[in-house]
Parts: sequence; structure tokens; C-alpha cells
Amino acid sequence: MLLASDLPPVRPMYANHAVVSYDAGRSGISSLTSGHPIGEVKVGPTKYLFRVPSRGYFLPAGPSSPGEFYVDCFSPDIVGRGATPSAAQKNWEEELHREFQRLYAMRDWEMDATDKRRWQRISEWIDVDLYRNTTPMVGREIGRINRMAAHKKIIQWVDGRRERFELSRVPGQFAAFTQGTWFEAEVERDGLTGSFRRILCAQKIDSLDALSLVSPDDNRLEYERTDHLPEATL
Amino acid sequence: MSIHLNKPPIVEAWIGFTVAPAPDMANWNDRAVFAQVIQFLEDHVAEFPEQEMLRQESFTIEKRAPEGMPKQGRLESRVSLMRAIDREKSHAIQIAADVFSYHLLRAGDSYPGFTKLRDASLEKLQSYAERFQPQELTQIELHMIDVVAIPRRPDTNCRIEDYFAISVEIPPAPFGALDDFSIQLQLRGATPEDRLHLHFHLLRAGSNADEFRFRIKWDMACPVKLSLADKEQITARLDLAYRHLFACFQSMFTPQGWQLFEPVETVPPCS
Repeated sequence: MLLASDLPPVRPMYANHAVVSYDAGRSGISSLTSGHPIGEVKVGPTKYLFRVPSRGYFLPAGPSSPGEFYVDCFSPDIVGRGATPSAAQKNWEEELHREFQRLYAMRDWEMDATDKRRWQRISEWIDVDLYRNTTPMVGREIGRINRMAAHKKIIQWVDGRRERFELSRVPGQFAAFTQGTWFEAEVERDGLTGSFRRILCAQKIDSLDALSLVSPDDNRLEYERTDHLPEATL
Repeated sequence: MSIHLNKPPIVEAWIGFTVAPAPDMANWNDRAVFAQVIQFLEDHVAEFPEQEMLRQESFTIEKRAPEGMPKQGRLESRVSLMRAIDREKSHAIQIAADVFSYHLLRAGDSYPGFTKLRDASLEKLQSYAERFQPQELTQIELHMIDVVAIPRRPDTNCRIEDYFAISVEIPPAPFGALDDFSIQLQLRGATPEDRLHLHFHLLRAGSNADEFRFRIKWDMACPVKLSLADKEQITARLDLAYRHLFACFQSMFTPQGWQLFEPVETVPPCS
């Protein structure tokens, strides 16, 4: 039996053995150094779903090295370190989260060869489309309470969009905002459709109504500047 | 003459005991049993201060009406086992339904050896028996996990047969070199009733790319019918299982592979 010197990465289609071989004794008592198959990783509100569950292993600390937790398909790029299996696994999950977010934020042309290889491996194992579609967008938006009805309010955002929402989808202090109140809010929207989900936090701001009264004529100085630009001869 | 390994490959060893529960013992997930488990762990909190609970979740499959939307499966959740770990992260106890186990994790280079594992696990077993009053011992399990590291030379394939006596013959052409392997064997133990499960497979590196790492997991299950008070018999049964397992472990390596562990023959002191 000859083992290749350059081991290629593990592919999801070969990983079923990790799922079917339940790494526990007959009694169901499990080893401390081999975790249960990992099907998803959650770090705070962020969730990564694996295409195929994969098993992680813990290697206790050596005389000069800390304990290590690793999962075959992400090894050796992502390794968790810690004194106990659970601490090392937690560190591994955070490392995976950090690496995913770093590469997810990059455009293809921004990646070097190593980044491309790592991203390819991550996207082979983690369902990136599902992540994109199920992860909400969170951003700061400015709006005004336009109309109020029982248990419902209508917001007009500064870009002109109007949205109706229920009080159950906003933080408590928002209920006291009256008609015409301007506010700045952290808004969570559906990652795929952009539809409103909820307001995470909001605070009142000074009225921006005066800005909306500004007519194009009041900006004539701007127009004059551009109207009197010298014409270029090409 | 006994053999001492200066570099033992062992990373984890544990002994598990399955018992026939007391006749009036309720189901594992019963609140009263759970309270007893918690109390047992509290009794050992000074030695094992870190406690964890393993919860197992499973979906149930439900049929859906034709052309209807699929229904959300009901998520069943139950406590699978409780465990407690010591401050040095090198010893642990685990309790599951009618099962108790004592674990030893390698810390640094030190591995205290089977005798200490056995004695410590028997001591804790007595404590378990006092709390739960089981009828008898029905199974003893001995588990060991080894991770063997073999230096990796660039552009040179590794011949498994140079280090391990267990291998699978594969025609070099057209198969060529392996990218991965996993061998599982079900074997007899020291007695015809005993079963030894061996899982020998490659680990995908970890942080060290200078070596190949192989993981060998030994699971020995010995059905018994012993009184929990009969410490001598339990000790003898465990020793028998261990001697067989160690003999299998030693036979698994070629002389070159065996030298990786720096074995030293020692003479026990005269009694």
C-alpha cells in the first residue's frame, strides 16, 4: 500500500464514512478526542451549513504544542487550538468563521492563488448559496414615521420607499415614536429579497424635513458652476 | 520482563462499564434519574470541576400529502450523556444510560499507563455503584486511541508496509499510490465472546505537514456477568483484555514502525 506524498484535499463525495461510522463504543459512550459529525457551525447569529457532515478530531497537547482540533476537509488550513476538546473545537469554529468572512468579502480578482484554493475548499464543504440566501443584511437607514394605525406604522425612508410594519418587529422605545418623527435605525433585511424583517435599534434624530423643501432653484450656484465650464476641443 | 515505551502513541484511553440497573431504576431521561446523575457529578466536583452535557437531537420523518408542502420534521432532543473533566484536562468521567466510563487523555508526553487507568476507573466504579445500586456488571469495555506520526519526505510516497504489519495488497498498476484509506476490522478478543473492533485510518495532517498521521482506534467489548463488589474478578478480566489488546498493538507494527515509540525492556523489581 503506497501512500501518495502529495495528498489532495478530501472531497465531499468521499466523506460519507465520517457519517456512518459512529465513533463511540457499543455502549454509546463517546471518545473525548473525536467529536460527533459536524453538520453546521454557529458563531453568534451566523450559521454555516455543511453540505456533508464531517468529523473533527482532537489531538491532546504535546510538550511544546497546544491541543489541536481539526476536521479532515479543512486541514491543514484551519486548525483550532485549546487545552480541551471543546475549547479547541470552539477555536476551530471561530477560525473557520474568520476565514470564511475574510474570503467571502473578497472579489475574485482580489484573491491570490492561496486564497482561491482556500475559498474553493470552503465552498465545496459549506453551502455558500444557502448562507447568502439565509443570512440577513443589516444596515443603517434613515426614515420618518409617516402614518400610524393600530399596532402598525408606516415608515417613509429617505430614498422614498414606504414600508408598513408591526410593533412586534421593532425595539420597545420605537413604540413611543409619534407621527412625523425622524429616526436613524439599524435595519435587518432579507438577504435575498431585501424585504424588511425588523429594526434592531433606533434613535430619534433632528428633522430632515427642511432638506426636502429645498427646491432645485436653490441649488442654482451648483448649476451655474457646471453651466459655465469651458468647452473642450477634442 | 516488560516493555516500556518512551514515546507512546496513545492519545486517549478509557474503560467503560455497562451495568444491569437496579430493578426500581427509572428510565435514563426520567427527572429522578437525572437528579441522581447530577448528584453523582456533584460528589466529584472537587476532582472534576468542569461538567458538560451532551444533547442528542434527531429529526423524525413525517409524510406529506401529495402536492402539499413538506412539513417541518419534529426535532427530538434528549440528553445523551453527562461528563465531568478535571482541571488538568487529562481525566474525565462520563455517565450515560446504565453506563459509566473513566477516561484518560494524554497531557504533554506523560501517559501514566494502563495500571493507573484501571485502578482509578475501579475506584470510581465503586462510587458509581454506591450511588446507583446496579444489580451486576454486564459488560466491560476497553478503548484506546493511538496517533502514529511518520516523518514525511517531500516527493516521496510512504510505504505503509514499512511501518505497519496491517495493510491491504493492491496491484500497483493501474491503482498507483493511495490518497486516503480507512481499514476497519472486527476481531475476536481474548475469549470467544470478546470482540475487538479496530479502525486504522489516515488523518489529514492537522497543523503539521511534515508528517503523516495515522489514527488507530481499539474498541474491546467483553460481555461479563460479575458482581460489582467482586473487584478481584473485574481486575482480572480487565487485565486479560488489556494483555490481548497490547499484544495486538505490538503485532501491528514492523520492527521499523515499533522503533518510533522508543521501546525499552524493563525488569520489574523483585517482590
